[in-house]
Amino acid sequence: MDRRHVLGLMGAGAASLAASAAHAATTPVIEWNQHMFSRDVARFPFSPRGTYKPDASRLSADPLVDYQAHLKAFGIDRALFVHPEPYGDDHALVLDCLARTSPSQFKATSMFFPKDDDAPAKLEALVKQHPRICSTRFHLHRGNTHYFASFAEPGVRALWKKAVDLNLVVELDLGPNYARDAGNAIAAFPGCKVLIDHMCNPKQGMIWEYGDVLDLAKYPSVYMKMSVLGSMANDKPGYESLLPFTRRVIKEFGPDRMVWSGDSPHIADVHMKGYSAADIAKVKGGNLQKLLDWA
Amino acid sequence: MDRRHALSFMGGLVGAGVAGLAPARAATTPVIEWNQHMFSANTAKFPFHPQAVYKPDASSFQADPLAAYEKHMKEAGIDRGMLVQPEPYGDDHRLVLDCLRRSPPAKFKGTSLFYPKNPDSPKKLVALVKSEPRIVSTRFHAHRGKEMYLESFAAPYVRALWKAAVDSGLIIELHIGPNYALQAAAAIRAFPGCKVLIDHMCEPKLGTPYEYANVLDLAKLPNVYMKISGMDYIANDGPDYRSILPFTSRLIKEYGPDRIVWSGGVPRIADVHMKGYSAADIAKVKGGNLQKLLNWS
Repeated sequence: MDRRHVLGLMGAGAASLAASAAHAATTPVIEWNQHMFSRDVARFPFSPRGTYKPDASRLSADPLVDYQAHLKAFGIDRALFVHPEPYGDDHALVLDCLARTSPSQFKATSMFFPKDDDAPAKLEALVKQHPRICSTRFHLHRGNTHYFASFAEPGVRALWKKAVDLNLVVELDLGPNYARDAGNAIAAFPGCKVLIDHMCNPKQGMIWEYGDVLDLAKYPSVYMKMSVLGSMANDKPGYESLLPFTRRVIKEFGPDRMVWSGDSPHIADVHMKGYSAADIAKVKGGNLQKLLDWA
Repeated sequence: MDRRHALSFMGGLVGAGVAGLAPARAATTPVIEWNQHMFSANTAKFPFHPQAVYKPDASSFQADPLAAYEKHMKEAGIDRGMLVQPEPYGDDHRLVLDCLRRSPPAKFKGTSLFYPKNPDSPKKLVALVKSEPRIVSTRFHAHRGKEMYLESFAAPYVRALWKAAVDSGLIIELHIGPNYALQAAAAIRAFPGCKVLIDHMCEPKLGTPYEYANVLDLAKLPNVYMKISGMDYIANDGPDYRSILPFTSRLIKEYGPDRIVWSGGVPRIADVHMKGYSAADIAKVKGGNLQKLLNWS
C-alpha cells in the first residue's frame, strides 16, 4: 500500500469519525426507568393487589412536572413512564401522563397479572386504545414471586404471546435464578424483543446464576438495561467501583444491546470508557430509539 | 506464504504437536490434586488446636487418613496430592508432617497455616519450611463468616507473614471470598512475582456477582492461579456439575488454561468444564499447571 493510499484511507477514516460524532450528537438521550406515583390516591388509587403500597403522603402532587424538570436537568430528551406495581393493572396514572405530554417525548409501559385469564385481552385493549404503550413487564425474582412461579406457566406464555403479537417489547424485572427459565420463554418466541431491567438484579442472585444471565446475550433481540447501580454501590454519581462488573456485562451484550437508564446519562460515559462516541450514544438512547422505532 | 509452504507448515504442526506430541504429553502429565485435608481419629497424638476456629467430630475420622486418601487417589486416577493443613489443627502441623514422612516425596507435598496476628508466625513458617522442604505453601483465610484471622490484607502482620512465605519460595494459598478480592489484589501487587493459588473458585457462594468481577480481575496478575473446586457447594448435579457451566466457562476463559487448577471430586470435571479445549490444555488443568507451579518433576 503506497503513501497516497494510506493518506486517502486516513482521510476517509477521519471523515467517518466526524460523521459518527455528528450522528452521536443528534441521537436522543432516552430513559426507560421512571415510575410515576401520585399523591392523589382518590383519583389514582393503589390496586388492592399491589405487591407494595408506598406512603402517599410523601408522593408528589404532580410527578410528571417533577420528572420533566429532572429530564431537563440531566439532558434527557425522551422517556418511558414505567407503570409501577402498586397500581396493579390499573393504568390510569400512566395514561394521564401520556395524555398531558407529547408523543415525541413520552411513551409508556404496562403491567398485568399473568394469572388472570383476561390479562392478554386487557393488554390488547389497552394497546389498541393507547398505541404509545409499547411494552409490558413481568416480575420474577427472589422476594418477588407474587405474580407467577415460572415463565413456563400457560398464563405467562399467553400474555407474552399477546405482547409479541402486538409488537411490544417484553420487559423483564428478573432475578438471576430465573434467567434460564426466561431464556426458554425467549427461545419459544423467536425474534421477540426483550429488555432486561436493572442488569437482572444481581443482588438477588448467586454468582454462578449470573452466568445464565450473560448467556441471555445469545438471543439477538435481548437488551440489557444498565440501571439501579445505586443498589449495589454507594460511590455515586459514577459508581466506578462497579466497573469490573459493568465492563463484562457490556462486553457480553455489546454496545448495540445495552441501554442506560437511571441517575445521570453520564454513567454511560463512565462505564463505557474506551468505546466510541457513537456506541455510547446508542446506549444513552440510540438503541431504545431503534428498538421502539421512535423517529 | 505459498500453498506448498502452507501445506508443509500444516504438516509440521501435525507432526510436531497438534496431533502428535501434545496428546502424548497430555497422557504423561500427572494428575495432581491440591485439596485434601488430613484428619485423624487419634486426637491424643494429633490434638485440635486450642485456637481452632472449628472442631470436627473426631469419632467419624479414619485412624489412618493417609491410607484412605491414597485409596481414593488410586480409584479416581490421581497421581499426586497436596496434603492441605486443616484449620482445626491451627499452626500445629504434626499430622501433615507425619503423613509426609510416611509417603514418598514424588507423591505428596504439604501446605501450612499460621495465625497472621501472631507476631511469631513468620518465624514459625520459616522454621517449618527449613525443617520440612516439602511444605510448599501457606494459606490465608478471609471471607464472610470467617473474619477472625485477619482484619485486612493490608494489615502489617498479614504482609509480614506473606513476605516470609514469598522469601521462602512458597505459594500463597488464598481461601478468600469475593469481597476480599480487591484488597488481596493490592497485597499481590505489593510482592511482584509472588505465586498465588485461589481456593474453591473464590467461594462464589459468599459474594455477589459484582464483587465477583473483582475476582475475575485478579486474572490480570500474572502468577495468580484459580482452583476449580468446591462445586458441590454451589450445585447438586454431581459428579460433573454441568448446571454451572455458564459460570465455569467464563471463569476458565478469564484465567486461561495455563492458570486454572482442577481439584476436588473427580478429575473428569476438568474434561466436562473445559469442553472445546485441547487435550494438552485439559491435562495442564488436571495437573500440569501444579507440576510447573511447584517445580515438581
